[in-house]
Amino acid sequence: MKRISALTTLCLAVLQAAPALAVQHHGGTEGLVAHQIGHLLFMVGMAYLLISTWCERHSAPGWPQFTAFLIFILLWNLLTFSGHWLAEYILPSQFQNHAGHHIAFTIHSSADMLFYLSRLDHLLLLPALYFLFLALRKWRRQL
Amino acid sequence: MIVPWAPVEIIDSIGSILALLLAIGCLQQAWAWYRVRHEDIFRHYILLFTLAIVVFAISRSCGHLIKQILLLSGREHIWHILSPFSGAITTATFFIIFAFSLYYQRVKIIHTELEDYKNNLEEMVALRTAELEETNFSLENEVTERQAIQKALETERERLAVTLRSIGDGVITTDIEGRVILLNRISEQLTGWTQEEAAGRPIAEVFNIIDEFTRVPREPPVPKVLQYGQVVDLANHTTLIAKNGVERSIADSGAPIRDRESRIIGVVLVFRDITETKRLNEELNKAQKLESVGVLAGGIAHDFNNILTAIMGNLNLAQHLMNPKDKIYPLLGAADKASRRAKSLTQQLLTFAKGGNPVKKTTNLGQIIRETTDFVLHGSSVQCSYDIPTDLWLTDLDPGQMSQVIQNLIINARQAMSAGGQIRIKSSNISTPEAEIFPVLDPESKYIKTTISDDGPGIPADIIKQIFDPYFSTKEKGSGLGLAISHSIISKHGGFIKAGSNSEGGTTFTIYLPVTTGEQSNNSPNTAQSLIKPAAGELIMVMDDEKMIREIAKMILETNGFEVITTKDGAEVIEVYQQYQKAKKTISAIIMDLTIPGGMGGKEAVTKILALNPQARIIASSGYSNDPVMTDFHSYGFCAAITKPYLINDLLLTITEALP
Repeated sequence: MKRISALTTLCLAVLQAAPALAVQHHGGTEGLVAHQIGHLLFMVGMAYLLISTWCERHSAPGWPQFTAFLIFILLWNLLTFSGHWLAEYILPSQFQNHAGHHIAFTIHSSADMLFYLSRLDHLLLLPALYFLFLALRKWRRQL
Repeated sequence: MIVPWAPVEIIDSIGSILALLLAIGCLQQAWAWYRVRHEDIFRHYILLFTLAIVVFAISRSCGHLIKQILLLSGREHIWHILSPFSGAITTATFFIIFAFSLYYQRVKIIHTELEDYKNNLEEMVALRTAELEETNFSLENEVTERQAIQKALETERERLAVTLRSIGDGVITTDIEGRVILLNRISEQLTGWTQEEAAGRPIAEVFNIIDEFTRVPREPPVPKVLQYGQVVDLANHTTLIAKNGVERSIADSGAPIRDRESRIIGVVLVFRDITETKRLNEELNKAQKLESVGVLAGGIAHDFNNILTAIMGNLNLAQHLMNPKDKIYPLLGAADKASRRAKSLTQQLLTFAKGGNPVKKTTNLGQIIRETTDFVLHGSSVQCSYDIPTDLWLTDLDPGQMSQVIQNLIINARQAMSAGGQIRIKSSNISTPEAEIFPVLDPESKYIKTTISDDGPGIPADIIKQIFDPYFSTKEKGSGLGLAISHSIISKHGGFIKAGSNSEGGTTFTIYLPVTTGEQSNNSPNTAQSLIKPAAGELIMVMDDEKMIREIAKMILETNGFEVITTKDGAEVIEVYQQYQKAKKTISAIIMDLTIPGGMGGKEAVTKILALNPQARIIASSGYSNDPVMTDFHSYGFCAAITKPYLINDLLLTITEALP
């Protein structure tokens, strides 16, 4: 029941999202929905993996790094999912342009702040990839 | 609040580049890890998962970089064209990653199961290996044990084979069909068949036996053994004919070979060559026959010689007293001649007498052979060739008896070659007599071997075994004693004589005589007449149980100047001797008969007389020329010996030698 409620809420949020001209568009509403569903599934997948590895209580080398990767990539998904959603509500007037390029962004609310942070998603993605790299290197060294 | 937008673009650009590099690094690590154990499904899964992440990262990074470049270059419209593709690829990778995520648990389970199975498999393999090693060890032990048993069996088989081949009797085994399976070494020698030749052949072909006398083939005892299932002995007088035709007398028996269930699986024949045994038995029988004759001869010799002594003494004395021109003189001579032949016959008979020993001297046998042979063949058309080495060993023998042996053999040869021929005599020294003579002769002793061969018609095979029997003769006028006497003489010399003859004719007698280590006697015979001294009234006592001998001896001695006292036994001799001792009268010599039936003989009386007078001169007298006392009289206390019947000269010569 809880699962059904959460899924319904997620679908409504996705369907209500509006286009954000300042960020990468995903082919209109349909593209954005598909992308957001992808993010959701990505998160579900990562959460599932995280739970699975957590339950398996791996202590061998590489598994802590892999867990860290899962956490970071899950957070990245959450952040970018939020960024995609909030971008639909960002007004073009919030950007200050110069010679056709954005040079500043006006933050009116916490949602604007979250949007701005979502534009810095590499700060989560890079650690995630780095931990994945570490995990794989540990496993490789174990042969 | 206004925040700068440049950090967003800078981090996005640099982050995209770093993400791109990390994605490539992750792919390299995942690939390298996968390559180590590409059969590992989990590694495969991680590789694919990483690949999906990498595709996502590359797609996104490339998309962002291209976007930044296009936006900065003022070509935003191009980005609007590319943006859906970049987003779609990224979105697609999300789904792929999601799909992979869902399969994580399943892959993990499969991986764990496979690992467990692998681990279990290793354990199972280890367990199975241990079981196999245990089984292998058990098998090795079993093989070792089996090899030990096999080796023991082979050793036992070898030992049995060696034993079988070493058995002194011939052994042949057959199957129940009567086909030869095995022959031992003796069987090969006796049958002339080798194991390889005989194997598989019918027993009758290999074991060819006939009746010794009828020559009728006999059946091997195999069928009887199989029929009765017990030991079957072969009939007596069986001859085995070897492959090369050699015939041997055999004794044998057949017995069934049974398996563990007591079923007959074959027959074993055990047989031995009894040819030599039979020959020895025949020799023994021959010796026993001669001994019987000896007992008979000894029994009659005493009385016969006593009679002859009286006859010959009287005839001799009559001739001595008569004028040779008297017409009765030749008649007495003829009677004397006949008496001498009777004496000779008695002497020959006495050769068989038990206990009689030849009077041996160390002599050169070759000399006796030559002298005797030349004498017998004098005037004959038979020639004789000698092959007698000058270094022929000496032997102890009675020259007279040995001469008689040679004489008998040469006379037989001469008579066998009435039309003339050649006799070949060969003597040789041999250190080891031929094996066929054992055990008659001592293999450790040295012998002189003499062969006398002639070119006569030979002796038929059916009678050659009888030629040494007493009174066996093929001649009309033969006494049948010649070869029997020769055999007896040779035997009493510790030797051996055998006869051989072949189908082409010719007879060969072979004599073995033991060698002595003494030196040849050089006593030259003295002529009796030259030694006889004239009597000077010496007193001689003659003791004999036969009155006629006492009387003739008294007449002979008195005729020749002696004084004579006669007594009939030893007791009387002692009594008279003591009387003469008391009367201070000297008895010069006493002639005493050794054997006095029912009374004291000379052998006993001599010790008593010598006890009375150790200087007494006592002469032994006996009809047994081969009596041990006569051949070794000194040992018994006598100073001389004279054999009855004796002639005048013999008596006078003996007394002359005995007198001091």
